[in-house]
Amino acid sequence: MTGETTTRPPQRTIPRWLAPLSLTWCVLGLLVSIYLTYEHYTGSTTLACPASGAVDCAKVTSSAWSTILGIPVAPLGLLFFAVMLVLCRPSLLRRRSTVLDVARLGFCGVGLLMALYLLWAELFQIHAICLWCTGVHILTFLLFVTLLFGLVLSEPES
Amino acid sequence: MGGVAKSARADNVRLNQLRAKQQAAERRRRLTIAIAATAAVVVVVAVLVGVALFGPKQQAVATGPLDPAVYTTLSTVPVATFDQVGAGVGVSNPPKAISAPALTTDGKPGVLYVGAEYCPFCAAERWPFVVAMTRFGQFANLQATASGAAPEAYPNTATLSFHGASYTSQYLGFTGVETQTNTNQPLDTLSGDNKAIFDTYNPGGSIPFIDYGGKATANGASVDPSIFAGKTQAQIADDIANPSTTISKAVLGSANVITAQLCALTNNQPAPVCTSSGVTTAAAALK
Repeated sequence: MTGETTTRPPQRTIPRWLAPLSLTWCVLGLLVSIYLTYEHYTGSTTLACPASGAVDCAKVTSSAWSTILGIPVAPLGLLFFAVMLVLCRPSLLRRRSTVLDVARLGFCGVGLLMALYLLWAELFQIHAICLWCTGVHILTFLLFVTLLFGLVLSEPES
Repeated sequence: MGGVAKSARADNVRLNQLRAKQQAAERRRRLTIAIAATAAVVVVVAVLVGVALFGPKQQAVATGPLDPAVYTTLSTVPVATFDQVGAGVGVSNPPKAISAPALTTDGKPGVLYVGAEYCPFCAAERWPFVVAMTRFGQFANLQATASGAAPEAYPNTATLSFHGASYTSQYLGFTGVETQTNTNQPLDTLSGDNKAIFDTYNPGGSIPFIDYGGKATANGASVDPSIFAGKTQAQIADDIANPSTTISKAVLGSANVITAQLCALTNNQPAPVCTSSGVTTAAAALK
């Protein structure tokens, strides 16, 4: 009689707050990104100055800085949070894998750098702040900090 | 025997203590790195916001007469160049048909432009608009200016101004109203019939607004203001004349669309302009 032995990948103990918190940031980020993507493709914004001369969100989302290499940043943000949502599944967070940790934190770091770049563009190039975009930037920062401290405070399973 | 076992246990305890100390030290080190990384991000954001709020502010560009060489470049773009660009790239927001009484100026189909010098979208729109209008007549006393300084969007975008300018054409009449300077000071007054048209067909009150003979209106820029960033009037004019540039593809593409709209007012006169392939191709964009 032959039997199959399934070997469980090495596990670790993660802080109790890591999974729910990171999933919360991912889901919120995904929802805001879906809204921004919807607005990007369906918004009827015109390149016009309002009578008040004020600046608003539409100027940010319709500016030349709203695309990178021809790709709109709104769906890029959606893709970012969708991938992070998968990488932040509790079972994957508990798995002791350097490759996964580097991929998760590295990808989130790239997202954070992108958020800083877009903040710079808003402040110094477009001279307008979009609150929805700022929400995405803050969620990216919170996700990065959550994952960073979660990784630091994780312990190998004894 | 017992002594050896005791000694081994003691060694084990010491080893475990040492291991625990090493683990604690390693954890402190990683925690320090995490705190430093978080602090670095916060500092970068704080610096960016601080410089944006309290850093040096840009000054508005002074308005003055347009260099005649720039005007010549804009008003003598060859038909072949227009045709090469056709409908162009990066052109949006074409004129939309309206149902209104005919707008006339001096007995000719009239074109009403309402904008302001501070407005970056007006700054962008004047380029294709002027290029298109010079295919039907000539401007005099056009001014060189730039849109408002930061924190206005697309600050200091080089452009032209219709304040004090006049237009002569056998086909069209033109009225240009610039309501404010690029420092938001009052300039031209929008009044009478022109104000009534602006209020009726542009209830949102946004600018630029252009009424094409009461047959169509355009609200907003047709080209992205960012393509002019950092360029002078002369550089923009040179780019417009070169059909391989981004500026030319946008400005001449939009100018062809505007020309098609103007041709609808002039019974397709002058024929060489209105029957050119660039204009007939771009006419498809009209709604």
